[in-house]
Amino acid sequence: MGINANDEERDRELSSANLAKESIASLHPIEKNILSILYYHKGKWITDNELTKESNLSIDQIRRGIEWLKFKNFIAVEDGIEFEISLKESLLKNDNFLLPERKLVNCVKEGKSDIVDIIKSEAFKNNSKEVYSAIKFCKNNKWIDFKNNRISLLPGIEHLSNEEKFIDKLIRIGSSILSKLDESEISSFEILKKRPNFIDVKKINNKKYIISDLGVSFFKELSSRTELQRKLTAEHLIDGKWRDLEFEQIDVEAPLPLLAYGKKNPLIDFIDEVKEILIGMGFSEIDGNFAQSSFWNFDALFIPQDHSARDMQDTFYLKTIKNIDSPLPKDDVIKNVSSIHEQNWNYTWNIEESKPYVLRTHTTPVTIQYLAKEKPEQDKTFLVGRVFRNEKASFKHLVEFNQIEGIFTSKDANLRQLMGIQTEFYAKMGIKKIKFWPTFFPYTEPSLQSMIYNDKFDKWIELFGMGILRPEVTVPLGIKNPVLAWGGGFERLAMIRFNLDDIRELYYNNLAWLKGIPKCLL
Amino acid sequence: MPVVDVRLNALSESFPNIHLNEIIEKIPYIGLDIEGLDENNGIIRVEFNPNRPDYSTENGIIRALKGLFEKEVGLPIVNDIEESGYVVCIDETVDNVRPIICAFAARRKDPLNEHEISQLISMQEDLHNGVGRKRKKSSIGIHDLDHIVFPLLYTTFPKHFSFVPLDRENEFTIDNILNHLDVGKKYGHILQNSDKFPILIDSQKNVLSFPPIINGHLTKIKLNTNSLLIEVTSINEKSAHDILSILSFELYDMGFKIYSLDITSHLGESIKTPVLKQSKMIVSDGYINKILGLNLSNGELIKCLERSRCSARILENGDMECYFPRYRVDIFNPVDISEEIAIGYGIYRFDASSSSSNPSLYFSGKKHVSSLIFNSIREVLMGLGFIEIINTNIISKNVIDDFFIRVDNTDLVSIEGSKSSEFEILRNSIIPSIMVTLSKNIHEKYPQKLFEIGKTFKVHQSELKEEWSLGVVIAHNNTNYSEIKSVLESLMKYCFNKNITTPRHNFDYYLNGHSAKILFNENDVGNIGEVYPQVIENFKLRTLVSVFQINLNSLMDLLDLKKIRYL
Repeated sequence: MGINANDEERDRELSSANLAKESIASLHPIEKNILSILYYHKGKWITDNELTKESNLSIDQIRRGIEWLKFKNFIAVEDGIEFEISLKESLLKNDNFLLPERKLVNCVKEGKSDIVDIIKSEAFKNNSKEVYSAIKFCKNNKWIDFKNNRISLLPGIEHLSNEEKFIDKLIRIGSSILSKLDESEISSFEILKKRPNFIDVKKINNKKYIISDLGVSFFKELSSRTELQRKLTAEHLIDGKWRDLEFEQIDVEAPLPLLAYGKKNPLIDFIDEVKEILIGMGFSEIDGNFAQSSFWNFDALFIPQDHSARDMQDTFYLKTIKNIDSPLPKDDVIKNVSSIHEQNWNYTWNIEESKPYVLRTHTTPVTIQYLAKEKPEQDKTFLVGRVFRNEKASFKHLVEFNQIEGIFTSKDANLRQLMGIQTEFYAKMGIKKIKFWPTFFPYTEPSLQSMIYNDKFDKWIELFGMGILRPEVTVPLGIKNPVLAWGGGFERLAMIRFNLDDIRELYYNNLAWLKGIPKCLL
Repeated sequence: MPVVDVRLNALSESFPNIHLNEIIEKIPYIGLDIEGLDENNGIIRVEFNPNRPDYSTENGIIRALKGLFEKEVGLPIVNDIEESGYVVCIDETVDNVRPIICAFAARRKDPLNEHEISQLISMQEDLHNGVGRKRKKSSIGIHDLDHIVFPLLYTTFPKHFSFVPLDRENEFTIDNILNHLDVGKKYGHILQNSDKFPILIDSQKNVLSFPPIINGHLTKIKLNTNSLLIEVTSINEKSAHDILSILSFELYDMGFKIYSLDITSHLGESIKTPVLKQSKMIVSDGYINKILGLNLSNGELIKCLERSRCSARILENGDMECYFPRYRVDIFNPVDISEEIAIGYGIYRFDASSSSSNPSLYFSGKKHVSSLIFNSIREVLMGLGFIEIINTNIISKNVIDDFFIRVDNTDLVSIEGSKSSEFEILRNSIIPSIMVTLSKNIHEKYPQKLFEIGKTFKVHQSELKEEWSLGVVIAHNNTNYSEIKSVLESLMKYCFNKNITTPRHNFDYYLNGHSAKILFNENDVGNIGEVYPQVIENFKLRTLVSVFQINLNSLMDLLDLKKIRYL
């Protein structure tokens, strides 16, 4: 046990020696300021108040500096209970305040030596008690002789009494601390305290500090060095003075405020990352309008004209005061599309229903117009863009959101390839567990939906839908080869990436949120 | 999507040798979504797609699962349909209103239980909404057969005709039903072009139904009902028979014996319904394997079809003749057969590894040119310290009014039948939305420097024109024209090495004398200025704002992007 205790002690000594060495390397200007004051007063306790006055530092700075210095064992700290001594307020208000004994002396100087005259005088206003007390203190001060009710002055009146000196000091500095008084001041204080209405004593809690031996030796060592420069300036560099200078150690660990910076919107940035993945897979980006004719949004995709998706409750129809024409294809395409509808859906197709402008409910009208125009033998395209649903916005539904969509067409395109493309895409996004289920879309057959397993939420999440475009879609538009198509809402991915519970946050444009999203997800 | 409650014990009873978890796991592989599992009530809630109306009941779902588990394969069949001898006559007056009716009767020993009634009602509702197109195309009436005296007459009556509708005690006129009952108000529009209304009555002049609005009260089904009449009225013959076939299979699976009815037209033609004959389709040799990317033998293909409750035989020329139940209204093209085979094969058995995506074709992917330009603009603005925001295209008209955009209403594009002032118009300028963003961020640190790239919409020469637009704003107490113009010039210089000119021009939304047009090669591409104080107040901001906006479509046209090059 004993040996262990010694070891501990030695360890402690060693570590404080190391600390001192490090401290020399990193004394902050605040620390230096405080330490120099305490060194000047070495052997004496210095209070917060005094330190504030002498250092010109703020309370906060002092507190911080004291903490550092205490940690380095350069100073000792005591939670000192102190008594603050000050003059009564009433007395401070009186510019010509004099102690009764001095008033008495002045009265005698004016020629009144009879005690009765003195009591009646302007100065004492018949307060005989005050006069007798004044006589007592005058005698103590050896200022007067008092015989036969007559007072005569002694040469000592030219000297201030100790009490007068003490009161002058208090007037000058406002207040004083009991423990800081010298012997004569203490006796003056004791005397004055006994006399009513002169002195206030207040108990205060005032931390006090004293420099330690370690602090003293460190400060000596510090002061022996060349004068330190706060910082390197351009002048030092140009006139070459830097060669003769030593520079202060700065605090290199303190955290600093973050800078303002410009940045891409996190959602757009994420979309861009995903675009790069698709480009790497050989897909090329296409682009198209948000406003589409009902023909391209619905009819061309084999969605019957009485389908509920075409209701105004689900789709935004556009309205203008002037009549406007929405872009319809050539007559032969219209004829092909209308007859395929009538054959298979058993109703009379009406061209008027295909004219109104809608805000696209999916990105497929853009893809299908591209295919109808280019009629590629083989191709890989994609787009990510805004789509619109007339739904009530909620934590999981937006009125406007982004859809991502891709197609692959070739002579031999098949369902298994489509599943493979999904697997490849997901793998590039770091998603390894996937399953496919059959589902239904009006314009694809067979149709599948994919489920991905998300580790963060520990559950399966429905992601992109996919399928092979129906011949009822491709044939009327003159597209010959099978077209594999896949797509879905993008914000669902963004919610996972940005840890959002409420999808609407993506569009709140809360600047604190925008700034807080890191560029890289780790 | 519509939802069906399937009882877990019904699943267990149908597949006594298969663990319940395994059954549930397979449900998605017949094209159903599991919405939730309610183990306390022993129910699994399943969503089905509108193309499969036969999935609108527990029995329909079990019928399909039986195929996948090979408990029953091939076409489901309704055995022993007997002729009831009952007749429904069609009056010619229905011709222009709702001309089609078909029906069958069903009997069994046990009365309907509560679960069966609720399944029937929810099935009826789902069929109405889906294939029935909200009753417009077809609607269904289910009646207690024992309260009916045949023959029935499907005819029309004028609006003052009255009867006791379902769940009412008193007679209502047709007029009252249409104007005062909820169902009348909801579905009355289907009959709006007629002054005669379709009514199905029996020989005692009792009203069975007023399609597609409401049934009569007399034939309401109750817990003790064990004999039913099912009728479908429609404006489309195929649709009517399709729906009737779904109902026939459902009642047959509930243990009812099915009786056909004779439907006689006013011309004296008569048909027996339900019509349950299987449908067929020829699929050419090799097509299925090619489209699915599989390599199955003919025997395997047929087996897969049978697991999907269809069947097939191989013709002499190698083609496959496929058969499927009448109720499979979703099959009308060989691709639909391919999906049945994929499901029968098991989607989970496909090799979906990424190597199978790798057809030997090479494609080089590239970004759209506007994406490239937008990203270049973003990069420069980011370097200048701007944060990108995104806003919606549909905005409130108030927002552009607050921005003092004095717009000719004929140039605006609005949302038809907008329900809320939040969603009224498509924005015709990008800046007002950015002002809204500023007003939402008044507690954040200034300066705030924001930009957005988005679309704006207007009517231009009888065309709807949508254009990409760039909006850039700076908000802080000392911002001014010089600051924002220096951003504009930096952007044009650093991004395109181009100069712009800014001839003085006054706008309502900018401070007079502190704003200009932006010209590029003498063409107007946007404007710039210090935002007018009243506008700033309108957006409840307490700091100055300076702004510029550029029409990116115009700019890109003028820049001649074809010239963008690497070398």
